[in-house]
Amino acid sequence: MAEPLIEVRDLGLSLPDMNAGPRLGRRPRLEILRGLSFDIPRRGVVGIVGESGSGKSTLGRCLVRLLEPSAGRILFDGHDITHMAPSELTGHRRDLQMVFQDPMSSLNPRHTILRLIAGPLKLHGVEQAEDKAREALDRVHLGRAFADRYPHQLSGGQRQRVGIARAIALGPRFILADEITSGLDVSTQAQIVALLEELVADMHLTLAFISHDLSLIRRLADTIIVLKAGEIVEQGRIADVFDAPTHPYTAALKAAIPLPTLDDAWLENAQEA
Amino acid sequence: MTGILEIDSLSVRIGPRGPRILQDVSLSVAPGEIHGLIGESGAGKSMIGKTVAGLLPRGLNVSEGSVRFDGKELTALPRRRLRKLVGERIAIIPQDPLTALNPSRRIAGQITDRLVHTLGWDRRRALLRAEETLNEVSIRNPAQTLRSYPHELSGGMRQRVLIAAAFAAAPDFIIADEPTTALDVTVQRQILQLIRAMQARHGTAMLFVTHDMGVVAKLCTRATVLYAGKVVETGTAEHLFGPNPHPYTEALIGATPRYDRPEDSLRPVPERVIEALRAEQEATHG
Repeated sequence: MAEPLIEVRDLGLSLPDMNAGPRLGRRPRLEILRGLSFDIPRRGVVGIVGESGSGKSTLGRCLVRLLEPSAGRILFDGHDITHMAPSELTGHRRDLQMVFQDPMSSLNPRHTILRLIAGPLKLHGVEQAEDKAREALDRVHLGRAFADRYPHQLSGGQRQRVGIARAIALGPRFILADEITSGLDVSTQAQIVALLEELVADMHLTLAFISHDLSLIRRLADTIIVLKAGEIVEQGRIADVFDAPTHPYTAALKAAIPLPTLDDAWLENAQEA
Repeated sequence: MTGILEIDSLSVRIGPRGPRILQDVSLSVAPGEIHGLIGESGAGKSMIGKTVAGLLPRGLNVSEGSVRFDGKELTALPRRRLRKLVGERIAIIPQDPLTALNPSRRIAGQITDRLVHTLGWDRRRALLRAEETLNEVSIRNPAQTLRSYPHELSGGMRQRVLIAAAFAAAPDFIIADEPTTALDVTVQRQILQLIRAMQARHGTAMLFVTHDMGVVAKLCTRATVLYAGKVVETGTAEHLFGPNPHPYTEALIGATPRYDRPEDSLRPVPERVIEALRAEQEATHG
């Protein structure tokens, strides 16, 4: 079996506790992530699920090294990127891309779509950046007519396609997608999911897909990591975890999803915690 | 059938001659029913609730049709009379509990305001009622919660407080506008269970706005599906989730992600369904 693309060992992140009152000496620290260990295999989708405050976005930001972990290590393709300085990271940035939740706030409203996609390419010294940007537009099925438009002229789904185009234009090996469909209508969400599936297959991508929606993860992911309060409570192959969740939290997350089927009993159970 | 709320051929326009954001909407909510309003963003689902509550944004006006609540025509009422009627008999459960609560006031005042100022209760009776209702929504320490500020409560607790506030005055009708959209799934389930239990206990009719077909299936007696400001269909839950719903309803259900059959869900709404629906709406509404 091939080496995993990303290996995470005993990863921890703590931040100064801003809610702790003023005191002498160092502020107490708040542990956001604790003792996370897992592998992300090459080519495929890992789903990261958890409720708000579980640390899933923080974990994602550590994986693409927008945050520096305070414990443990992260190996990307065998390189230890845990504490790499920004200058050293530059070489890896092309490989580690991210798509954000809210495309409206992550796309500069004063730039055209072409400039938004070509910008990062130029930053990395890619030649013919604009041609490559147009190719990326094709790949996300937006068409080249969108090149000269501005973000506000696009629908939510189209903006999210631009976010994806920006990420794939650099030809990365790893993409982190953090709740990228949570602001979209179901019909648009279904289109974005179809696009991700197509890109993962065609471009041999490795994708980490963060979501609070277990149903989405069941569809997209090959493996799953379930986070609760900064710790992994369950991980494994997607079908195994769904068929027989070993942690009650995973089972509760699954049971809480209202499937579009009639079921009177779903609302009758007493208030369980 | 006579509903407690009867909306007939309602159109709402932007400005006197502007575009219609609701067109020819008819629906009826029976006493004791939870009636879902479902559609994608811009379909007009929240606007229907706002029209009933007299909360249409400035510049939007009812241009045609009627809204009858318990036999009274609401569209003909002067604004102040409408406000009074709504204040006395209709309650709203809003989407975002954090913006709906005043951060600088304790919970007590925010629940009792309506009882004291609109219904004319004396303060002591209102406070007792507030405590009683908090108890009813399974808040463990009502007295302490009444003294709290919104930021001291979790999202789920705040939504419980708003549900208590809505039921405190024993309204005849409740408009719930996506009340669980901002919540985590496990909290959402508890809140839906609570809404269902409270609604059943008090027999309150309810208009429940949501974009989630799953929520409609689990909660609603009947629902109205909207697209582009027009009604696609109204039906019982058994019809909508049965073998023969409108193709657009079926497409919305098919687009919903499902962990129990991952490959046979998340289907993009087919282009032909939208085209056929547009043609159908064109033919019906002009």
